[in-house]
Amino acid sequence: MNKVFLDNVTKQIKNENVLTNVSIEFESGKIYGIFGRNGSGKTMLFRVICGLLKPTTGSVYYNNLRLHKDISFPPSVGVIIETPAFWNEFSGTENLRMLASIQKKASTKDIRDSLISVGLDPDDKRPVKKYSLGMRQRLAVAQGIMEKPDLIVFDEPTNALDEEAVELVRDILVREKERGAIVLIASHNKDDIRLLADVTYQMDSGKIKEAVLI
Amino acid sequence: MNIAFFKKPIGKRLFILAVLGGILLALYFKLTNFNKDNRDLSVAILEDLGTLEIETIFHVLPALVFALPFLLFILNTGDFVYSEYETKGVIVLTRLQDKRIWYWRMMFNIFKLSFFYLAILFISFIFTGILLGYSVEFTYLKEVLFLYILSLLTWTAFSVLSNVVCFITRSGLGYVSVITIYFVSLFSSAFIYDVFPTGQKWIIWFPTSQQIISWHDFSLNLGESAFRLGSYTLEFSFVYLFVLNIIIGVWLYIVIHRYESYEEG
Repeated sequence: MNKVFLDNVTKQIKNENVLTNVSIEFESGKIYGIFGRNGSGKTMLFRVICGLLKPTTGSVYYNNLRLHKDISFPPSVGVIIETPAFWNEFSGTENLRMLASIQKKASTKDIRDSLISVGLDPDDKRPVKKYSLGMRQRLAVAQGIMEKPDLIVFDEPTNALDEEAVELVRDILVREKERGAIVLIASHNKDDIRLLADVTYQMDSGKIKEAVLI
Repeated sequence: MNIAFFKKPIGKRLFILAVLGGILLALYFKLTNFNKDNRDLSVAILEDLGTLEIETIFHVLPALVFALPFLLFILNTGDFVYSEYETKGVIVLTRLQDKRIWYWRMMFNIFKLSFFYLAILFISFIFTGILLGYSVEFTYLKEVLFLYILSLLTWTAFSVLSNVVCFITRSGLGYVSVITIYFVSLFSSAFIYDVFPTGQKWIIWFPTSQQIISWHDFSLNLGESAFRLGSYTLEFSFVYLFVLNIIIGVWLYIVIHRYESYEEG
């Protein structure tokens, strides 16, 4: 069983606390939903968890490994933070192939399967620059799951998606949870959180608390 | 790691700019040197890409023409590393697990872009020169190679510096500071030449001076100007640029290592 543990994490940016004394634990096989208004600290929390921001005080642990001390980034993580940029001149499949070539964890079949699961055609030769915003978001989800990561950190995963794609992504997240991944999602869409999350947190002014969505 | 991972459309754009740059420069210098027929191509390259008459810098146009290929290069690569970090850092760095690997790849990419851009610029200039009737003797091939290496090292250093400024200022405008340094360096040389002739030895310390081969203590008489610094050797420039690249490269490493991306799009 994998665990992510934040121990009293505070992050200051330009002398302002964007996260304040956040202590929280995430376990595999669960979906954690985090909601809060814009600027409440959801994205900063995700950046800290992914190793992209270093806590000013406190620590982040991935199992027993301390981020920024034992490891620089979580060893197995699929991330969406805002809609990521891709290599616009290349097709969706080529983009995923290039990303997969870094860790060599995803096979060609994994890449094709992840594209199909988000409703994209793996044989589509069009360059990503011709993709709509919704297609880019689907591609972002595909890159986040293709390597079957232990930790999935998706910030607003259903942004810019139509109803059909929203359903696909929700199904994917449930499957990932059942596979045993730790799934963290942040969304301003309370339906996503309500329908998917096993545990719900609310963020406000950089502080986190467990909450129930009705 | 697959090398295709770092393929960039920027390469295609730079290729076109280098071809056009070479053609334009060859045409420009053919027009401004209409009385010099049957020049050897190697001399043409040394005079046209490695020579700037110090007296004409304040006329601005010669300095601008001289700087044109550099400006096109820096406008396209000056925020390359920074923009890669901000746009794809999340999905790339979390896979690489180590910023150092990414840093070395980016340094290699800048060097590679600089290498091919200059090579294509030179080749385009040579082909246009042949069409314009220059002779293909290449008497000074070694010197052309020196000019190429000096330009390569100078431009790589400026491009890396521009990216350092981008990271520090958190904006894609690093090239503004680098272009400023480039021209301040050029115009300061001209100012010293005009106003403080006794201080001319300081000109060799300006970064832009390193790629102007005609200012070096050199066996060829290049251009119309007699301006040449007696103790200004090519060896000095190679060492200067080598050290400069290391310093700026280490600076970029430190900046990237400390950089935290937190801007929300």
